[in-house]
Amino acid sequence: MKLAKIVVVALLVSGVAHAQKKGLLAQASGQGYGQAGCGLGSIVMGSDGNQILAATTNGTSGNQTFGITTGTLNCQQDGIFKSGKEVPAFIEVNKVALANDAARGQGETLAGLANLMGCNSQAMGSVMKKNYNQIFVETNMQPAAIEANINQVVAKNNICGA
Amino acid sequence: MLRSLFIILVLFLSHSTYASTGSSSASGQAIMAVQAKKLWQERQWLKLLHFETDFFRVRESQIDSANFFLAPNGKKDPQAELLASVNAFFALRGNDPNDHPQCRFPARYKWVKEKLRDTPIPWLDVKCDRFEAFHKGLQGESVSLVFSSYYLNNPSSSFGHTFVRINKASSKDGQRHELLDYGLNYAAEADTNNAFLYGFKGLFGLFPGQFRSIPYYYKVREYNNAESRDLWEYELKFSPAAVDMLIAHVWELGPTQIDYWYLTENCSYHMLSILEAADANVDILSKLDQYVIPADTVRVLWNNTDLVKSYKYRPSIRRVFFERQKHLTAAETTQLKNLADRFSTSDDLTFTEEFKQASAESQARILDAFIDYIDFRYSAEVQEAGREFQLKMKVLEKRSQIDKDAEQVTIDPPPQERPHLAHLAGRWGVGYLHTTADQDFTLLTHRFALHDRLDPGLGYPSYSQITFFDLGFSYGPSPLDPQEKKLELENFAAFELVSANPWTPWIPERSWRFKLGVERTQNENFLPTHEGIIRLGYGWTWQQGAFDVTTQIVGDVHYAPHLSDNKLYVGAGPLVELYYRFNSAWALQSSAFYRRDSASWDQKDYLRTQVEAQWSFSKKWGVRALYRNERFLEETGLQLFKYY
Repeated sequence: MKLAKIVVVALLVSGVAHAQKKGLLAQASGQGYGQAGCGLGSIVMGSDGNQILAATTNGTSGNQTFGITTGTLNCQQDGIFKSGKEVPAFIEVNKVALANDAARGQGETLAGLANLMGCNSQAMGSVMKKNYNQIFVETNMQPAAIEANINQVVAKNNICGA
Repeated sequence: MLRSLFIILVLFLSHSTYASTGSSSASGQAIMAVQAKKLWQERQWLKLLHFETDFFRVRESQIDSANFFLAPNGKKDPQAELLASVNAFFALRGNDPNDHPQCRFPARYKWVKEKLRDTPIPWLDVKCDRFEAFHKGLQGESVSLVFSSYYLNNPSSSFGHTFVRINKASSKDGQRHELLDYGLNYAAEADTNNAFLYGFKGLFGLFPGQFRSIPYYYKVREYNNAESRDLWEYELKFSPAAVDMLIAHVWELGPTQIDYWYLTENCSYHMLSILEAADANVDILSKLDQYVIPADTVRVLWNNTDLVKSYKYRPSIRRVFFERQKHLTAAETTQLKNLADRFSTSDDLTFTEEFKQASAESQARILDAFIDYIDFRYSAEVQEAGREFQLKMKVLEKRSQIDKDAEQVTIDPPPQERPHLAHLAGRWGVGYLHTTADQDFTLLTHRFALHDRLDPGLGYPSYSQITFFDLGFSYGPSPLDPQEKKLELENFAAFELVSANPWTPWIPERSWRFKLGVERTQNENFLPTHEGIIRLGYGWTWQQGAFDVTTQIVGDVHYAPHLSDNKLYVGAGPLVELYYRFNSAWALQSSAFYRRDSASWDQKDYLRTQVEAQWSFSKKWGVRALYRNERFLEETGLQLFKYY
């Protein structure tokens, strides 16, 4: 009977170890869903509860292996981005892929952003490639800084519709 | 002042009385029409309420939130719920029109109106701003079911995952921007990180599940980039009207909770249940088993319905990297390797003369592969300003100076990798076993799911085994009295995972295994006995041509309640395994395992060598042969497997 207890304890210990590993992971990614930024989980539950929230989980798990550490809260209403919030949310979540596309001068992520901003994606691709350093290098991957730089470059080169 | 207020009040009251009588006669008309047509018997009404007959033959709604029902007994009575809904659609407008039942249940409202369109009923449409904003935000034109492939590093994802994507129309430039679509996801709101508690609660429906809308780009980054899982997108034949209905129905489900059952009413089940609610012609759940495995739903959609219009494969970052790397010349590969080495060891990244002298095309190819490599190996690090980020910035800076487009990576996985062509996950087996003690046994096995490495090589990752609830019995002579025949449990795996991704110079993958279960152990020191086992193995797998060789250190914890001493003991030792797959029908695996035990019997160790081969003569049938040598006992066996 004593040995059965040992097995149970072993099970629990491994369970706790697992939990701690996930805890670290959550720490690394910086937040639970509650404090999440634009990209996910902005909690806007109304009193009537008639809301569809944005959040991410993977099947049954709340595991987050990459996270979003900054951003504006309350970017969404009923699971849909409020107008004007699509661009910051998009940049926040896609910043790594966006930097890759900018350096390459084209790509799906860049085309998506161009569409959101109402810009011609080809023109935007070449402008972002040309101004890669200016847009990304000094930002330390802060989404707001990336966004401001993109806006500046895009305005200067006048590549987006009115 | 008071007087004018009084007049306003009187006016207001009389107005609402008027409205109320007006609408009550209209609601009476509508209710009479509903009753004449007995609309509550319609299949789609039942689907909109998620009425299903459960295992105990009870028919009720699967929705577990009271706020989903307008009638007090709505969860059990679809007629009462319909009449209450129709009545509520004529309710007075409150302060916030968004609280009105029409706005709360737009799919029901749409459906009832459509069903009664021949009856002249003065419907009083309420303007639902918030629902309209939601509807407009999704901008649905068509629907895809998305399958994200198996992820062994997280037990809850090892069966894969499915969710629905609402596809927007092409934008002004005539292009589809899938990243800008919204996904609809149903998932458990897990409140624990303890793996065992998690498993228990998941299996027994103790987590609430909720529907969420989420930008598709978030899913792509999560699966393709952070977890390096492939996505398979199946576009469905869904009319625009049905897409509208789907959006309206998901809106109804937003504030509700449905108990999440890991094996039955799970993410995949409810993706199908909302499709059925949205389109009366969709019939999939009836074609599924009681247990719903994500890959099964994709297979059933593909094989048993004509709903799938086309599919699209979205490769993981890992797969994209290997594809790019394949396109490099030998010299370019060396350059890439140099860069990768310096990336991991040095804090600065300089480009060699050799690199600088290469053509622009060549530099672009190397850097494009390198960028994807960095994103795969350091997926978490590059998100934040740190060493890897700084180094990667240098790579991107260099890339931005090269005026060459990136090569388009298009990958079309061969049929044996497509999840919709996978073999079935359940498996029955009958067989025969002969031992050197000259005893014969009949074998009977059943596996709930999913795949081991000798099964038909169709639709599952070839480097892994994902076994859930595998039971094996033998029937034959009892060890105490050979004249007596007994049925014995030989093996039970609650969960068994093997991940044998081969080591490559690019990605020094480890291989590992895990088993939690019961085995009937043969040992020369005691009679065969049942032992509870936790097994963990860790090592590497190497690819040698068509073979792969796995070497691992395996540690076991055994608990044998029937032994008089050494009930609990541990053991560890090396395992070498050789695996060869000739094609999707033929596979062979042989292994040698030596274990040193902590228990003090005469002989404190265990050695086992075995060879297994399977010929799968169809997708549903296979024959597996086995030879096993445990030093004091040899066994040969043959089993017939039926996949179902």
